[in-house]
Formats: sequence, structure tokens, C-alpha cells
Amino acid sequence: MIKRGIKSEEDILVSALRRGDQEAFKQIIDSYQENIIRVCIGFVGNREDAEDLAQDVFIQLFKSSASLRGEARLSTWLYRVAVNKALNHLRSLKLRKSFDHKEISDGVDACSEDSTDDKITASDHRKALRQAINSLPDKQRTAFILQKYEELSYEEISSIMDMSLSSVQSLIFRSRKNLQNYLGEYFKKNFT
Amino acid sequence: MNCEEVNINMLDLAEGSLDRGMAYQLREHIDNCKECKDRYSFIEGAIGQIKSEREISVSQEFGDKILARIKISDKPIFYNRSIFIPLAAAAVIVFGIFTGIFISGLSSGGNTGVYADLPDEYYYTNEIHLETIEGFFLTNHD
Repeated sequence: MIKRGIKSEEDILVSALRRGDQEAFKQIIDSYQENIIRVCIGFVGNREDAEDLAQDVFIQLFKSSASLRGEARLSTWLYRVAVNKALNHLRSLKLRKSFDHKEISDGVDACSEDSTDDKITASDHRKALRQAINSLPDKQRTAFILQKYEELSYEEISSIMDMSLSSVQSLIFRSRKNLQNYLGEYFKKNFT
Repeated sequence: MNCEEVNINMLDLAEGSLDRGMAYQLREHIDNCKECKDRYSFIEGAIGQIKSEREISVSQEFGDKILARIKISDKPIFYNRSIFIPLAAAAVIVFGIFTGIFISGLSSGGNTGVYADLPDEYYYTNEIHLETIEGFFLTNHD
């Protein structure tokens, strides 16, 4: 992640990007690619879709670079776009599945059939975690992912989500409670 | 400590965010309660997946794919958009001015196009087609 000083490296890179500097654009990609892919994985749960979404984020940055005003940090802008793109992706996926009359992936019943009571695999854990995260309302999910996958502070999350600090604290508290309850119920339903 | 108290703190315990005293009490209960032990083990395993999902390494190809998608890799340099846009706007304005001058020259000057059949000087005449309208009214027709 690029550090922010008085005239930070980030400001210099953004100015260069606005002038159409290809090297600056490459450097921004190098600096933020892991962060953005990680956030996207938090939402979609697989590397392939996450990379596609992250590519879209950087392409949007390139297209919007002339209009970047420097009011927010570049990382804040990138996280915001990543969150919006990931949520839209999940919505379109859900809509497509409902058109196809298929079961929505966040349903508890979608547990793997080969799971046995005495042997719970990493795949079962992964599936349960994904369904638990997908069961959260959008704002709780966003706050949880930014905290757990990116280890961002409440201040940074409040800036990305454009919410007050107390609202973010409340969202994260509720998301953790809901996640814990969901995982408990999932275990009870599928492994006891 | 009962099962309910343990259940509401399992996530915090799995993440290691409880103080030592509280964590000790929870672990003591979990060690002696099979139901809580299984449940805790499952929640700990599920939350532990976040750690493995977080560990990523990104190849050079990622950036290359982005550059290929926006089709800039085959251009020697980025065109400078901060200059390009005002230049394009100026070109459109100049083109508009010259087009206007050209059209006005056509309409006021030579007889071409839709005005080709009209005479150079055109007078409105009365129904007799002999005199101008003003002339008709000035003439005594008695």
C-alpha cells in the first residue's frame, strides 16, 4: 500500500495518471492489486471471479482518472468501486440463478452430500463460511469483509462506506453475531 | 459458565480476542461439554478459512491483462487526455465556424441548389401579374 505524506507518493502517482502516464498506472496496479483482489475474494469466494472484478476496478480507475479530484485517498476510491462491483456481481448472479430456477447458493440446504458427522473437511468449513457471509445484509457484509479480509481500521471502513464511526462499529458487531448464529445453526442442521 | 454463554462468545474465542480469564473459563467448559466442543471446533474451522483466503499472491499477468483489456499496450505512449480534450473541442468549434461561413455564402451568393430556379431579383405581384402590389393600390381603377 502506498504511504501518504504531505505530497505523498499517492498524490504524485494520481497526478501522473491524470496526465496519462502509463508507468504511474502500472505502479498503482502493483501497489493495490492484492488489496482489491482480497476484498473481492471476501465477497465472491473464488479467485477467478475476484480477479475479473479487480480488473474491472482498475479499468474503471483508468477511465475515470481525468476526473479524479483527490478528495478521497486513492485506496478509499478503489475499495468503494470494488465493493460496488462485487455487490452488483452477486446481485446479478442471484438474479440469474432465480431465472434458472436453481437453488440460491447461500441456502443452508446446499451442504455437500458427502459430509459426514465424524469428518468435517476444509471444504465444509469453506462452504459454511461462504454461505454465512452471503447471508449477511449488504452493509454488514461489507463492513465485515473490510475488517476481516483487509484488516482495515474502523476509521478507514467508515471513510470507505461513508458512514459514521459508531454506525460501522454497530454494523461489525451485528455482522459477527449474525455470522456466529448462522454457523452454529449450520453445524446443528448438517452435522448433528 | 453455561452453554449459552459459551455459544455467544465462540467467535471471539476462535479469533483470540477475549481476555485470558474469559478465554480460560470458556475453554474449561468446552473441554467438558461435547456439544459445545463440536460446535466450537466447527466455528473455529470456518472462521479459520478467512486466513487461508487472505493469503494470495498475484502474478505479473494480472497487470498485463488489464493493460491488454484497455488496449494501451500497443500504443507507444499514452495520449495526453488533459490536452487532447480541449484540442478536440477547439477543432469542433473551428469546424462549426467555417461550416457556417460556407453555408451562409451559399445562401446569399450564387444560385445553386433549391434556389436555382429563382430569378436574381424577385418582386411580389398582384393577381394580374403585371404590377407590384403597391402599384395596384395606387392606381385608380375606376
